Amino acid sequence: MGLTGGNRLELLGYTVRRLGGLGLVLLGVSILVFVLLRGMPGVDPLSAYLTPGLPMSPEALKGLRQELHLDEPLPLQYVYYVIDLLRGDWGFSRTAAQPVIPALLARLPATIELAVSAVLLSSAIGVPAGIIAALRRDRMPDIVVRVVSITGISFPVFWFGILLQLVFFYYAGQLGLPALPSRGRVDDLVALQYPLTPVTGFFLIDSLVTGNLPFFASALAHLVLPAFTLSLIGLATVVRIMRASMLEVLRQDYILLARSKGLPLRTVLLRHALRNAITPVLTTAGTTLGILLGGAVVVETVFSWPGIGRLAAQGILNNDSVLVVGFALFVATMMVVVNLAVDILYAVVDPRVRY
Amino acid sequence: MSGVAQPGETATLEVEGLSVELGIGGRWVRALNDVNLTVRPGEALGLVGESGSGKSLTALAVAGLLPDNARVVAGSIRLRGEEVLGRSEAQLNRLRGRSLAFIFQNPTSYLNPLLTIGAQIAEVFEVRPELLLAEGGDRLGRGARRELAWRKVVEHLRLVHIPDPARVARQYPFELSGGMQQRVVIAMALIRRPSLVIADEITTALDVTVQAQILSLLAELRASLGMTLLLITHDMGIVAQLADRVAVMYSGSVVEASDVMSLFAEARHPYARALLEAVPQIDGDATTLRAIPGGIPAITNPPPGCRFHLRCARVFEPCVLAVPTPVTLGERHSVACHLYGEGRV
Repeated sequence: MGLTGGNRLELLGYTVRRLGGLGLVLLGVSILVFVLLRGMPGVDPLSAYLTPGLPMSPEALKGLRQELHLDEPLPLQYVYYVIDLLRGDWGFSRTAAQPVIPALLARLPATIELAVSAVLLSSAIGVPAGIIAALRRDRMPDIVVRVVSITGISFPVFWFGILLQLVFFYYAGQLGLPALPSRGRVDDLVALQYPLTPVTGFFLIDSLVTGNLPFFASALAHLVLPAFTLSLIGLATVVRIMRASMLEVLRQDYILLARSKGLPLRTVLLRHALRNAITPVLTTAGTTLGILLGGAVVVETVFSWPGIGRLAAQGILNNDSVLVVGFALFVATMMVVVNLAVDILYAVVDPRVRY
Repeated sequence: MSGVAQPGETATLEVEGLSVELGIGGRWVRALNDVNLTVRPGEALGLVGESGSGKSLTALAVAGLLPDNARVVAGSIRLRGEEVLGRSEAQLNRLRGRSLAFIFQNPTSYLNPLLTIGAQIAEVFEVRPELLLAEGGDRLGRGARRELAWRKVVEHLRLVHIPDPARVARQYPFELSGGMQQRVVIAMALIRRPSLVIADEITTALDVTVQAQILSLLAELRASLGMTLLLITHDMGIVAQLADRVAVMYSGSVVEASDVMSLFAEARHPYARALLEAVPQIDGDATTLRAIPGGIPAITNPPPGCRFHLRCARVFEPCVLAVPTPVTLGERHSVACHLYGEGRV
């Protein structure tokens, strides 16, 4: 049964109400970021504009302070700051050698491609594994799933990434087996030989729609190891929550009624149980996606993945405060947007949420 | 213990010597002990007893829906002559779909919160597509079949007196009151034209006025559709209103079975009598409420002999020593009590 007209209207109202909340959250984040930027002891906002070893005349400094509104009271400085943010002027990053917004946007498709793949992968593995564990509770499959997931969550993810590189790139290569690439988004030679026509910035999508299959194959191969590594962040949680939630739902009375109707087990599980059990998993997957979209700083660095996380890591090492603060604001925005998307998805799945 | 089906007539439900054990705290405990029940076509059997007496467990066993920690250790359950025990899950599904329909205690928790009323009712046609064939559905395409299914859903919602049935079919359970939800569950049962409807404490979760409405609806449907009913309740008033025959359960056994009139006129088992006396009566200007002293024994630690003897006003020596065997008192009337043992009737 699809959504009726009235249901769609309720959904729209719900979305608008949630959007209002989103504005408030971003206001809070901007205040926090502003305080960090201006309130940190010993950090002069001017330092971002000074090159070490190249002194400026006092007159030039004074002019700069005036231009940056640094002589105004703090609340007024905040207003100027927010106006700049809204105008899209987030400052200039020395690390990227370009303004913050274009620097982040240019690297965003790589991060999205990696984060979405990782979350899809952890759901594709975690949801069935959780269901099987719940159905075979306390028996062999359940025990295996539980042991593997607790082991997975106990290892640092970057360590796992390095291990995968060692096995599937280094050892596989030494043994003459087909090895998986361990760094970057695509093979440089392939990129030279079969140049990609950019459409969306997502390598997989662009190469597919333009029919550039060699590029697609190379991009896919490059995605495997980092995406799998990153998927481990959410995998154990998805498995455990799916299992617990499924066990809870299978105890419900409506499952008994559905079974008493003579419906086959498959229908009872997929139509009646899974839909009810999936909501907590949506939250986890959504939160994980939010975190990963904010740049998987460590994994992107380990795999030399040219996303926003790796840029942020470079910014931190370069003391590029403009970039780091811009990155923080950007990550918060992504998190809020993803949470909104999850909330809307809730309302689609569960009609009770719409009111 | 209750009468055997007459020759030439297959009973809708026959439970014979059913014993079920529950796994509790690492050991198996007897929860149903040699239960015998017969429901003939068109009949309504009231299964009465306190909570914990095994009524619901009996009903779940009939549907092959016992919980994971339960096992049948002896007996036979036949639905229209077909044995239920020992069937595979697929065979059970077919049997449930064809022969049985449940109406449960709390409609709110028995309806799936995420599916519309119509979708939940219409899915029975997936199990029993032949229900759509009766009106020439075999010649219909997919769209027309869906339309017919939808029409039947609306028609059955109207049958249980739901106002504006076409709108309700598109609503979700949380948009309906408890009484309306119970009507939906009843419609869901009726649409399948089951051989046996099992109604388990169906009014307990509802307001008193709504209870009365649901009971009169059930009586009306029974008269108009010739429904065969297994009515599980702790309320003798409901039995008097709806049932033809009654079986009284106590601590996992049927202690007395007879037709409703005889039981109300002359209940033999001390427990059945006490149960009838526990129904509030208004004598002149004083309201008396008689309770049965004590509580139902824990099945993990049952008393020896007759399980009722600790609470029985007429207890005597044999009750402590032996479990009473059922004695036939008249046509389809039997009682399991030492007071009516050999030579004592």
